[in-house]
Amino acid sequence: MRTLERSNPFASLVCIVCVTLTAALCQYPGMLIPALLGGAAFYSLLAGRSGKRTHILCALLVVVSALVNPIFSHNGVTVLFVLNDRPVTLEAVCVGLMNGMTLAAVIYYFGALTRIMTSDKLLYVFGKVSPKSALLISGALRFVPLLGAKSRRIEETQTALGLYRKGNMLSSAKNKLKVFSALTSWALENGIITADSMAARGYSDGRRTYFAPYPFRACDAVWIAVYTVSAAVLITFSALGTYGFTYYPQMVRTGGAYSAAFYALYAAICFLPAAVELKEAARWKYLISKT
Amino acid sequence: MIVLKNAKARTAIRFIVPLALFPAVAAASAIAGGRAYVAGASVCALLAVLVFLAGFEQKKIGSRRLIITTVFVALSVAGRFLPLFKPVTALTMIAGIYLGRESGFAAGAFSALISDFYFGFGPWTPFQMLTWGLIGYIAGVSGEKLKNSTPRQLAFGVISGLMFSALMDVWATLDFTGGFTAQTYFAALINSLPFTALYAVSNAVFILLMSRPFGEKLTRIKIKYGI
Repeated sequence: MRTLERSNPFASLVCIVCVTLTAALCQYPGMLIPALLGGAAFYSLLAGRSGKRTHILCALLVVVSALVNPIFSHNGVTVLFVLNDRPVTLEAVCVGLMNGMTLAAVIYYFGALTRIMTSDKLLYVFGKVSPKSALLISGALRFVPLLGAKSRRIEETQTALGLYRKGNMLSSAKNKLKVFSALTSWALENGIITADSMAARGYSDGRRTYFAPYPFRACDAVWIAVYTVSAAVLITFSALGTYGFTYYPQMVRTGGAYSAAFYALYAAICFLPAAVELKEAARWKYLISKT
Repeated sequence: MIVLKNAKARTAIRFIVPLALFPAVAAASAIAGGRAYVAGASVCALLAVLVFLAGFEQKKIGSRRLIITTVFVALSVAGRFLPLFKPVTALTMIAGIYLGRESGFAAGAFSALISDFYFGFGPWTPFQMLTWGLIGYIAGVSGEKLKNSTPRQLAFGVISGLMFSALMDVWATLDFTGGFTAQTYFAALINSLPFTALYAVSNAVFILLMSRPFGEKLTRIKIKYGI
């Protein structure tokens, strides 16, 4: 099976949306723990060391959410202690924890998705339905690093000319604004030139077509089928109450004897992207000639 | 995108979707219970954004105007890296005034989307897109009134700072408490008061500093290239 990164962009998008949507709609501990772990694993495999900030953000979110929820919510029967005549309950803390975990899982999966969906893939997926928005997104994604580089050059030039002194906060803010102003003038002119060169090459003369080296393979169909069917099954049976979990007033597992099967199914679709990624990485490693 | 021929129907749908969908989701999730509300609200915000963007797709704007909008988005995102200074609202307002309401909405919404490429996506992204997009849209609607009046622009900046805070607090309330009651919403509003003040003041400062030079630059570009 190909990794999500090398699959058809539609397949990557559908899989990630299915996993996160299920996590957001069925917030049971048995669902969120695999979602969080699977998301973190998948994200770490794709981002490597550059993902450190995301890990810190997610950890903070979980902790803050667990601390904040008991302040607003006093439901629950297991009182931990009393603060300002208001009870702080175990249930409220756990609900906060679960909210934080859902959020962290969503951040991880979408973080992975942004690593996978490069701007050419974005154009491929959204170009047909909304050509202008797709062009705007991919254009802006290109302009941001360009503007960053240009603003550094402007700053260096101004420093060399002796116009840019790093002093107290006020004067450095003033200088920054001056650089920003010069940057804007350049960016607008440059934008017009870009637009003219686009027009010269025939933009807006007809429907834009995209070169897309993303054939729809059998394994893309498998990815999409597995994820949509699993998500549909999980959400439907959760809504019917076949499996579930209630937090208030007391934390109880609800649902019948088959609950474990649903949790296992969800865990499988959570860990599958990371597992395939690992498998491919291992394959690469062992295919390299050792002689 | 689906295109409606009738202009009045389009405008009606644009306002019905956010105004009717949110209460509908609220009612549905009140019956279904708890956390489904958060996901539902995010989906609603996303739908509202899509409805507005359909207007942008459908509007005939030249490649130059499109690229200028793109440049505005890129500048807003680049501006979000500046410490303490967040010029997104000011830039969105200027884009709305000079480029029109559709481009204003696109500039605001995509600034939020693209900066989340760098700062991290989450269920709050549709809310941010909708809020900043609406700021651009409203600036575009009242463009002529705002164009040559600094006090009006300042008032707009302050109000949009308040609006941004009020709308994002809806999201914060939903996320932290898993439901929505007037009591928790007011608590969130009061809690975020320092940030609200900061938004309002920094918007005003940025508008004061940038509005005139930006206006001059855009006017110059318009005259030079005849847009």
